[in-house]
Amino acid sequence: MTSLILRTASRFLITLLLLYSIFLLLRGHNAPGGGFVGGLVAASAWALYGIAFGETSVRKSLGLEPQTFIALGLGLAAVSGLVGMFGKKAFLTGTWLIMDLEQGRKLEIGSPLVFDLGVYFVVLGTALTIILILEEEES
Amino acid sequence: MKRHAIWLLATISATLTLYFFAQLPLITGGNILLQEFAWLSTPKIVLSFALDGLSLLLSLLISGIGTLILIYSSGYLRGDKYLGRFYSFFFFFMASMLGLVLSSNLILTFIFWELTSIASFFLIGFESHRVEARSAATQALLVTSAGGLAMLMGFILLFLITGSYEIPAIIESREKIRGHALYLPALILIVLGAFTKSAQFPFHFWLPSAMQAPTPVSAYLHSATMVKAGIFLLARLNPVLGGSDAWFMLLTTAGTLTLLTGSFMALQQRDMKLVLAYLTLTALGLLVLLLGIGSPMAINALVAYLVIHALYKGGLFLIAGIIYHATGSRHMNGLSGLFRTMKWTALAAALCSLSMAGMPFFFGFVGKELIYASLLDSDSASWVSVVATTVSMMALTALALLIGLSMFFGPNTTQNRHGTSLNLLIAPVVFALLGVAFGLAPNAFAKLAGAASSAILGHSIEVSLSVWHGFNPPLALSFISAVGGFLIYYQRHRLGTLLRSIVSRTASLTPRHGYHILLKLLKMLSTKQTRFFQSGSLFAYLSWLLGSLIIILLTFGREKWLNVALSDFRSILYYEWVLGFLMILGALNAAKTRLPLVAVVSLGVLGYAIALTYVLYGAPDLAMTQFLVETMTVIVLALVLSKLPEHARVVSHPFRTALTLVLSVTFGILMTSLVWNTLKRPLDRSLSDFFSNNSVPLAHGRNIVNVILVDFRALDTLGEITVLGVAALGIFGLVRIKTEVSRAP
Repeated sequence: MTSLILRTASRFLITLLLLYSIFLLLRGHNAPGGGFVGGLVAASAWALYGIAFGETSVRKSLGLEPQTFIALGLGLAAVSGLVGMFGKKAFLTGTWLIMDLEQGRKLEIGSPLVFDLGVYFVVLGTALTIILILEEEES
Repeated sequence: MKRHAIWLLATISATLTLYFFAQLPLITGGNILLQEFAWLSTPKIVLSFALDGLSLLLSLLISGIGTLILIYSSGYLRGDKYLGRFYSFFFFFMASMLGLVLSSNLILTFIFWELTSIASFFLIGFESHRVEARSAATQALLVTSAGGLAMLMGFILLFLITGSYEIPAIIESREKIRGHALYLPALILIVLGAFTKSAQFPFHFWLPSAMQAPTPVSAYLHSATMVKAGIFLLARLNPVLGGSDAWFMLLTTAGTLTLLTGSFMALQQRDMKLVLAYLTLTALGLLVLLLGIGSPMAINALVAYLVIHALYKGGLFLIAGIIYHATGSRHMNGLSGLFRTMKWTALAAALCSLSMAGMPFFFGFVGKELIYASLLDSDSASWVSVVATTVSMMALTALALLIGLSMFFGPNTTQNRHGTSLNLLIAPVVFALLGVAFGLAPNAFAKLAGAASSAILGHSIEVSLSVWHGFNPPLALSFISAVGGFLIYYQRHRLGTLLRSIVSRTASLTPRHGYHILLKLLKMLSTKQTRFFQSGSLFAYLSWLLGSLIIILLTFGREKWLNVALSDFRSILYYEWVLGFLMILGALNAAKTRLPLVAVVSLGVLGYAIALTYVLYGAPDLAMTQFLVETMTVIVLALVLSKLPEHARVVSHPFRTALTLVLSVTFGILMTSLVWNTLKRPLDRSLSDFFSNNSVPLAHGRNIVNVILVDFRALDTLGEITVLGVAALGIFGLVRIKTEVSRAP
C-alpha cells in the first residue's frame, strides 16, 4: 500500500502516539491510563507505521524483535516484585521512594511503576508479534 | 575453561559428601537432625527434612558416588556438545534424590520421587537423536510415574487414617493403621510405587531398556542410587507397614521372582552393560526379599548389601564404560586380552568382580554370609527363597568370573582406540578399593549400619560385622554357590544358547510385550477421543459450547436466573436504548453480510458501542482499553482476512444457518436475562470499599483500577501478562510453521 497522505501523516502520528502512550503509562496510577492502555496505544502506533511503510521497516526501526519486548516486560514485572522481598515482605509488595519537592509537593516513585512498565512492554510485544507476523509478506 | 568446570562442580558435591561425613558421629550416636520450613497452610504441608541413620547412609552414597561418577563422566563424555546439559541434569538428579531420602513428609517424598523420575527421563534420553534412547526414556518415565501415582494414592490413604503426612506422626499411629480397613489398599498402592521404581517383577523391564543412557548414568541412577529409591521407601515405612502377612507375601514373592528373572536374563546376555543391568535386578530382588523377611538380621543384611552392591556394581558399570570407550564394543565374547593394555582397569574389574562373587575377604562376602544367615534363621523364610538366592548367587559368581577374567586374559584380539585417562580410572579404582577395605575391616561400617538398621526397624539395635563367621550353614551355602558358579562358568556357552532359545520363544509372554500392547491401546483410545472432541471445526466447537450452556441454564437456573418482567424495561434510559440499538445493528449486520471484512467492521461497531456504555457509567479506564482492543482486533482480523484467498466467503448449508440462528438467539436471550437478574441482586461492596479506602494510603495511587492491577492484585496481572506473552509466542509459532510448510517443496 503506497499512499502519500498516509505515509506523511503517520510519520508525525507515530511520534505523537508513542509520546501519548508514555504519558498514559506515567499518569496511570492516579488518572485513567496505565501500562495496558499505554502498551496498546504504542502498539497501534507501530501498527499504523507498518500499514504505511511495511513490516520490514517497522522491524528495522524497532531494533529489537517484538518477542524481546515480551521477555523484557515479564522480566521487569518479576524484578519489580523482588524489590519488596528485600524488605522481607511478600513477593510483589509495593515499595515506594517518596521525595519532597518544593511547595509541599511530593514525587512518589514505586515498584508498581516498574511493574506497569513491564505490563506496557508485554502488551506492546504481544500485539506487535501478532501484527508483524501477519503483515509479513509471504515470499 | 569449559574442560576444567568439572573440578568446580565436583567440589560442590564433594563438599556435600564431607558435610554428611561430618554428621556421622552425631547420627550414629542415635540422634536425628531435623529441619522444618513452613509451606502450605491448607492442606497443611510442612517442608520437613530429617537426617537419621537410613537417610545419612543413602545421602553418603548419593553424594559420594555422585562425586566420583561426575569426575568419571568428565572423561567419558569429553568433547560432547551437550556436556553442560548433562551436568545440569546430573545435579538435578542428585538434588532430587537427596531431597527424597531426606524428606520427612510424604507429600514432599512424592514430589522428590517424581523429580527423580523426570531427571532419569532426561538422562536416559540424553542421546536424544537416537530413537531407542527416546523410547527407553519414555518407557522408564511412564512405568515409574504410573507407580508414583499409585504411591501418592497410598499416601493419601495413610493420611485419611492418621490425619498427617508427617512420617514420624504416621509411624506413631502404627497400631491404628494396622487395624484399619484401608491398611491393605494403602500397602498395595505404596508397594506398587516402590516396585515400579525399584524394577521389581513384573515392572522390571524398564531397567534393562534404560541402559540406553550414557554409562555414567547407568552406574549412578540405574544401579547405585535411583533404583534403590523403592527399597528406601519401603524401608522408611517398614515400621508402619512392615511385618504383616500381606507385606511378607508381596515382598518375598516379588523379590524372589525378580531375583530369578535377573539371574536368568543375565546368563543369556552377551552385552556387558545388559548383563550388569539384569544383575542389578537380581540385587534389587534380593533387597526386597530381605525387607519382606524383616527380621533384624535380614535388615542388617539389607543395609550391608545396599552398600556392597552400590560399590561393586557402580564400579563394574564404569569399567564396562571404559572398555566400550576404548574398544567400541561391549560384547563380552568378542573381547579378550585387555589386561595388556588396561592394567588398572583390569585390577579394578577383578576386585569388583570378586566382591560381587562374594569371595572371602571382600565386602561382598560379609553381605552374602549375612543374607544366607538371615534366610536360614528366619522362621518364615521358606526353602524357595533359600534355593532362589543360592541359584542367583551362582549366577553372580559365574558372571563375575566372566567379567573379571575372560575379557582381560587370553589372546589380545581387540585394538584399543586410545588409552584410559585418569578421570576415567579414579572412580572404579576407588570403588574397588573400598570393596576390599570394608571386606577386611567391616566393623568400620558397623556403626552407620547399626544406625540405618535401627531407623528401618523402628527400634535401636547394635550391629557388628565380622570378616569370618566360622564354619556354619551359611558358609556351606556359600561354598555350594561358589562351586555352582564355577560349573556355570565352564558351561556358559551351552547354557547361554539354551537360555537364549527359551527367551526368544517366550518373547510374546513377557511384561515388556504387555507394556507395548497397553501403550498401543492407549494411543488408539486417545486418537479416537481427540478426533471426536477436537474435530477442528469452529462451528462444532461453538455449537457444543453454547448448546451445553443453554441446556445447563434452562435446566438449573430457570426460576432463579431467567426471570425478566416487561416492567423492568421501563427503567432503561433513552440513550441506553440508542446504544443498545447500535449494538444490535452491528451484530445483525455482521451476521447478514457475506463479505468477511464488512463483518469484522460491524463487530467493531458493536465493540465501540460497548465501550461507550463504559463511558456512560464512569469507567474511563475500561472504555479506553475497550476502544483500543476493538481497534487492534479490527486491524488484526483485517490482516488475517487479507491473507485469505479473495473468493473466501461465508457460504453455509441451510441447516447449519438455522442451527446457528437458533443457538445464537437463544444464547443471547439467556445471557441477557442472566445479567439482568445479576444486576437486580444487592451488590457486595466490601471489596470495593476496601480498595477505595486503601488505594491512596497503601498504594499511593488514586486510580483504583490501576492500583488493583499493579499493586493489590499484581500477582494476577503477572499471571495474565505471562499468558499474553505465551499466546503471542504460540501465534508466532503457528504462523511461522505454516509459512515454513508452504515454503517447503
